[in-house]
Amino acid sequence: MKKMIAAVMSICVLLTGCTDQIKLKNLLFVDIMGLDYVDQDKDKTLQFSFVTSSLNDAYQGGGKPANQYHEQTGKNIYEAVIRSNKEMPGILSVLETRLYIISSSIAKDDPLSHLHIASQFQSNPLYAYLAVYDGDLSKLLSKPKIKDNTVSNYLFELLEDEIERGRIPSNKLLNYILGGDQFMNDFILNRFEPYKDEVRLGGTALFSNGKYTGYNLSNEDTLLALLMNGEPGKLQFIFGKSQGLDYSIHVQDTKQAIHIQHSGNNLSEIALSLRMKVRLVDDGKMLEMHTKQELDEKQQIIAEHLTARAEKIVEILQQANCDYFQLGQQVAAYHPNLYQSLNWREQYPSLTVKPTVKVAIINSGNLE
Amino acid sequence: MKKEEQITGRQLLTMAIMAQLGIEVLSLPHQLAENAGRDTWLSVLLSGLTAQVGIVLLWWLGSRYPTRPFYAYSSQIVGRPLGAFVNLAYGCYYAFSGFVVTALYCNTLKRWMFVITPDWMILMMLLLICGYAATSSLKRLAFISQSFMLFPVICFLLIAFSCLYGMETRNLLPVLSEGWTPVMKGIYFAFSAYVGYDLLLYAFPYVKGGKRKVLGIMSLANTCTMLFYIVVSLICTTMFGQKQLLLIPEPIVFILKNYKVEMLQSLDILFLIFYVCIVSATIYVYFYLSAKSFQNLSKKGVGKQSVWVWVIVALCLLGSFFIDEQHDLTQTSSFQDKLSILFVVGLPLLLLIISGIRGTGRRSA
Amino acid sequence: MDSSVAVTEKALKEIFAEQSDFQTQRLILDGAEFGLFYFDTLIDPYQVQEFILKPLQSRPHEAIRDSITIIDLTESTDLAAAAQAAVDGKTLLQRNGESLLYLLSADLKKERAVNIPTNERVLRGGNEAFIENIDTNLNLMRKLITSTEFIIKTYTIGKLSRTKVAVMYIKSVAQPSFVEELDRRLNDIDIDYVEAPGFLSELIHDNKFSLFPQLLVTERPDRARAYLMEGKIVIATSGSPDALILPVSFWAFLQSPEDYQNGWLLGTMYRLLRLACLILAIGLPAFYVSVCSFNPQLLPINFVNTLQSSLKYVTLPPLAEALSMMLLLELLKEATIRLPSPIGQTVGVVGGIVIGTVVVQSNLVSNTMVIIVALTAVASFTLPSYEMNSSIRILSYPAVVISAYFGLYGLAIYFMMIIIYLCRMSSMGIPYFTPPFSFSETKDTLFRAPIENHRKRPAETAAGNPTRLRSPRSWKK
Repeated sequence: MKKMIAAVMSICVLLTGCTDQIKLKNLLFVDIMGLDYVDQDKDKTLQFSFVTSSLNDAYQGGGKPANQYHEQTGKNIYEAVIRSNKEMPGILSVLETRLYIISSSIAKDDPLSHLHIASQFQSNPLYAYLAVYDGDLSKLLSKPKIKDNTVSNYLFELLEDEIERGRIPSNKLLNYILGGDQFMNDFILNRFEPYKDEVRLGGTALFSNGKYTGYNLSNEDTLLALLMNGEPGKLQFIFGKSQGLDYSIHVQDTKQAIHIQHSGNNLSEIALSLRMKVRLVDDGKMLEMHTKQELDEKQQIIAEHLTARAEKIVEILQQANCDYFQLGQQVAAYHPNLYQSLNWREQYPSLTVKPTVKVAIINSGNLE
Repeated sequence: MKKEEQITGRQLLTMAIMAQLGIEVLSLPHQLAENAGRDTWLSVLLSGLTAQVGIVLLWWLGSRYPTRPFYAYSSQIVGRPLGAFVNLAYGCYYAFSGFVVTALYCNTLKRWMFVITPDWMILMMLLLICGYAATSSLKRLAFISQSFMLFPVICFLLIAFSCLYGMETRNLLPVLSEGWTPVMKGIYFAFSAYVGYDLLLYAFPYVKGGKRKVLGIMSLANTCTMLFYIVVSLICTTMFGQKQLLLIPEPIVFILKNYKVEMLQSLDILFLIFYVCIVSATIYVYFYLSAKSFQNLSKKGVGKQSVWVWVIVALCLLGSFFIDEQHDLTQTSSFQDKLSILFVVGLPLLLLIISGIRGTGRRSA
Repeated sequence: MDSSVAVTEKALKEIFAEQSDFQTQRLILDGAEFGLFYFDTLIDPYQVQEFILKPLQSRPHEAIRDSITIIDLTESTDLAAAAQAAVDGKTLLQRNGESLLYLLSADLKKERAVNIPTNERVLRGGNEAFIENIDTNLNLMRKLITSTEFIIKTYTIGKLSRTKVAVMYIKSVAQPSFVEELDRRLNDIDIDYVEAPGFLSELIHDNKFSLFPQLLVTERPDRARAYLMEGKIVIATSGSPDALILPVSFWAFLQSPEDYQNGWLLGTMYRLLRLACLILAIGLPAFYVSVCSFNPQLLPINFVNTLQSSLKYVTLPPLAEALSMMLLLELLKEATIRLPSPIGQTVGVVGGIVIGTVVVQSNLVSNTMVIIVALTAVASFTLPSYEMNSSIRILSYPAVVISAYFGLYGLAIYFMMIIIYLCRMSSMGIPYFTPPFSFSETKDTLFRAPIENHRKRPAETAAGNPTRLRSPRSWKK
C-alpha cells in the first residue's frame, strides 16, 4: 500500500513537472545590452540594442564565435524583449549578459531608473559591467567584427583586461542600481569613445547621484584617481614630463589616507594623501648609473608633478559635484555630528580638498 | 516505545547547529536593516547572547530530570491532564514551525527559479524527504545532520571569502548612530534565527557524557551559529548600501553572484539549491520533535512515530494550499516568531519555576 | 544394523536401487569376510587399492583400525547415516560379524590449481585467489593466519545439495554477538540448495530492498584476512571461489587492498579519487541535463555557447539523449562480458568508436553528451567492488530523470534521499553509513591514515578488544 502511494505520487510529480524547463538550443544569449534614446529631443522612448553571442558552424569541435544584432524600442526592457520575440525566432535571455552600455545622452538623464529593472530578472548576473559610450551606440553594436573579434568579446575583454591590471575602475551594475552600495551614489564610469572606425577606452565619465555630469577624466587621470581611491599597486604604468624630467614609473605598492580637519562644526580641510612605492623604469638616461641623491631629486620632481595632477582631478570632481572618493561617507562615519551640520551635496564643490602624492622610488627596474 | 540510542557530544553539536541555521540566513540582513540599520551585527551578537541565556534555562530544566526527555516529565511538573496539553501544544508548535520553514524556503526557491512549477510540488518533494528522515531514530537523525554538515561549512566559506570582492568597512560606521533602541528592536527579529536550540529539551537525556558537557556543547553550537550570522551580517552591511539592503530580500544571494571563474559562475543558484540541505535539517528535527511529543501524550505512548510524522507531513501539504500570497506568508512567519518565543523561552521558564516551587524532579530522578 | 555383510549389502542395495554407480564388493581374505560399498564415481581407485585393500590383504585378522592406513576413519552403526556418507564420497567397509560400518575417506579430489585473482587485480599484493574447493580455501586462510584464535566453524546448508559453508572469525577480536547472530541466521536457512555467494548473501543481509551491496564479496584471501583482523566475519562456501565478508559499512566498498601497500599519501589520494568518482558517476549526467534544461547561467557565456553549438542540431531532448547514451553504455558492457574475449574486443571497437562517432555525426546525440557518458562510465569502473559500481550506475538513471524535471533542485533532493537512506541502513545491527566527521572516524574511510595511526580497531565490529597497534614506530626516539 505504502509503495503504491509512493509510486502514484512520483508519477504525479513527473507528469506535472518540467514546467520551468528551458530549451538551451532555442535561447539567444544577450551578451551586451545597449540603452539609448530613439530621439532625444522629441520623446523619451528608449531604444534597446541586443547583441547576442553564439558559436556557429561547430560540428565536431571548432566553430566561429558570432554576434547577432537586434534593435528594439520600448518603455522598458520587458516591452522591448516582448516586441523582439515577435520579430525573430528564439528566446532572448539575459542569463549571460556581460555588459550594459548606455549612451551619453541617456546617462545624463537618470540612467539608473531604467536599469533598476535588471534586478527583477530571474537569476541573471547583476555583476555585469556598466559603461558609457560617447557616440552612436547602434552603429557600434551593429558592427559585425572589430579587429577580427566579435563586438561583444572585443568590448568585454578590453574592459576585463584593463580592470585586471588595475588601470580602470570595475563598474559592476549592482553597485549602482537600487540606490547604490555607496554612501553617495557618485562614481566614475568607464567610457568608450569612437576612435577612427573603431572604438577605444577614453577615460571615465563622472556621475553625480547616479547622473552623468558631462565631465570626463582622461585615461591617465582615471588611473591616478583610481590609485587615490584605494586601488592596490599592480604595476600600473604612469608617465609624464616635468621640469625637464621625462619619467615612466611602475606603481608597486600604494597607501591611501584621508584626514579631516575641523573645528567644532566647521570643516576646514580634507587632506587626501597617496603614498606610492614605484619602480623608475625610464628617466631618459638609460645608460647612466643612478646615485642615491639623483633618485631623491627625481622622486621629489615626480611627487610634485603627480600632486599637481591630483589637484586638477579633485578640482574636476568638485566641479562635477562627484564625490568619487566618498569623502562624505568618511565625514559621516568618523564625524557624524559634523556631517549632520553640513549639507554635503551643496557644500562639497566648495570644500577645501587637498591631495598630496608621495613617491618612493624603490628601485630602477631591471637595470641599475 | 522504543528506547532511544545515545548520541555523542559531537553529534549533538551538529544537530544543534543544523537546527539553528535555517532559512533566516538569507533574509536576516534585510530584515534587520529595517530596524537596526548599520548595527545589524550588534543585534545579531546580542541576540545570540540572549539565546545563550535561553540555553542555560533549558539546560537547567533538563538537568532537574536528567534521565527523561521533556515530554516525559512535563506531566510530572504540572500534573497529568495539563502535562498532556503541554505536550500537545509543543507538538502543534513544532509541526507548525516545520511547515513555516518549508513554506518560506519554497517561496524563495519559487521566486528565484521555479516560476511556473506549482508550489505544492516543490513543497511536497521537500516535505517527503524531511518526513522520511524524521521517521528515523535520534541517532540516525544525527548521522544525517552530520552528513549534511559539509554544506554549512562550504556556505560559510563562500560567504566569508566573498569579502575579497571589495568591502566598504565605513558602512559599519558610525556605531550606534541611532542609540540602543533600534538595536534592541533588532534583537527580537534576530532571535528567531537562533531558535532550534530547543532540541536540547528532548535530547538532553540521550547525550553521552555529563551534564556540564551538554551545556558546553550547546554553548559551542550557539557560538558557531552566532559566528555564522555575524559574518553574514557584516558582509552584507559592508557590501551593500543601506538603501539596497532595504530593497533586496536575500542579499546573500546577490553577494554570491560575485564569484566567477572560467568554468563556473552564478554560484548563487547552487547556493540556493543546496541550501535545501540546511533547511531540511531544521525541518526534520522539527517534525521529529513534533512526532515525539504527540507520541508522549499518554504515558504508554500514542501511535507510532512514523504514522505521526506522515500525518504531520500530510497536514503541512494541505496547509500549503491555503498560503498563496507573499503577504500571508510574512504574517504566518511573524506569528511563528512570536510563538517560538513563547514555546522556547516562556513555557520552559514557567515550568522551571513551577518545578522549583513544587520541588519535583531532583528527588524523584 | 545387522552384523552380517550380506544383510547390509542387501539393505544398501535397496537404498541405492536406482543408482547405477553404486558398487558393492565382498572380499574373503584368509577366511575373514569383508563388505566394501562405494560409489565408483566418487572414490579414488588408487587410494582404495593402496590404503584399504592392500593392508587388509596383508593383515586380515587385525582390527580394522589398526590395519587400514587412512587417517579419516569413522565408525557408524546407523545405516542411513552411512548411506549419506557414501554419497559424500566415503567408502564403507564392514567386517562380517561386526555390526558397524567403517567410513573411510578415499574420495576423488578434482580441483583446479590456486590461480591469480581475475576480478580483483592489484599491482602490489598477494596473487592467490580462492577456488571452488572449500578445503583448499580454508587451507589458504589457515596458512595466512596461524593463530589458535582463528576459528573456522562449518555448517551444512541445503536440504538436497548439502553444501558445506564455513564461517571464519578471530575469537578474541570479533564481537560474540555478531557470531551468534550469524549462527542464528545461517541455521534458519532451509532451502534445497545454495548458490554461493548470491543466495547466501540475499538470505542473510538486513535490507531486502537496498540497491547498495551490504556484504562484501572477495576472491582474495589477503583481503579476507584484513577484514578478519577488524573483527569481521568471513563466510566461504563450497563450490564458490568467492567469500562473503560481513558486517561491512559503505566505506569498505571504496577500499582496495592496494591502498595499504602503496603508502598512506597515495592511498588517501586514491580513496578521495574513488569518492569523487562515485559522486561523478551518480550525478554527472544529471548535472549535464539540469544545466542544459534549467540553469545554463551556471556556465560563463563562452562555455554556454560551446555547449549550445553542440546541441544546436541535435534532435533528442537532453533527457532522451542522456538516457539513450547511458543505456548504450550498459549494453556494450553487458555484451562484452558475455561474449568470448576475441569478439568482445570487436564489440568494444564497434561500440566505442563507430557508434560514438556516428551518433554524433548524425546529430542524434551531442558530442558533449558522449564525453559525459564516457566519463561517467570510467568513473564508475574505478570503484573496486563490482556490486557497488553496478548499483551506482543504476542510481544515475533516476537522477537524470528527476533533474530533467526539476533541475538541480531535483538533483539535490535526490542526493539527500540517498544520504538519508544510507544513514538509516544497518548491517547486522551496526550503522551501514557513518558520516565522515571527525579525524578518528575517517582514518580508514575517507582517508587512509599512516599505519601508526590505526591504533584502534573499528569500534563497531571489535568493541571488546580495541587495541590493534601496541608500539607504533617506538624505535624512533
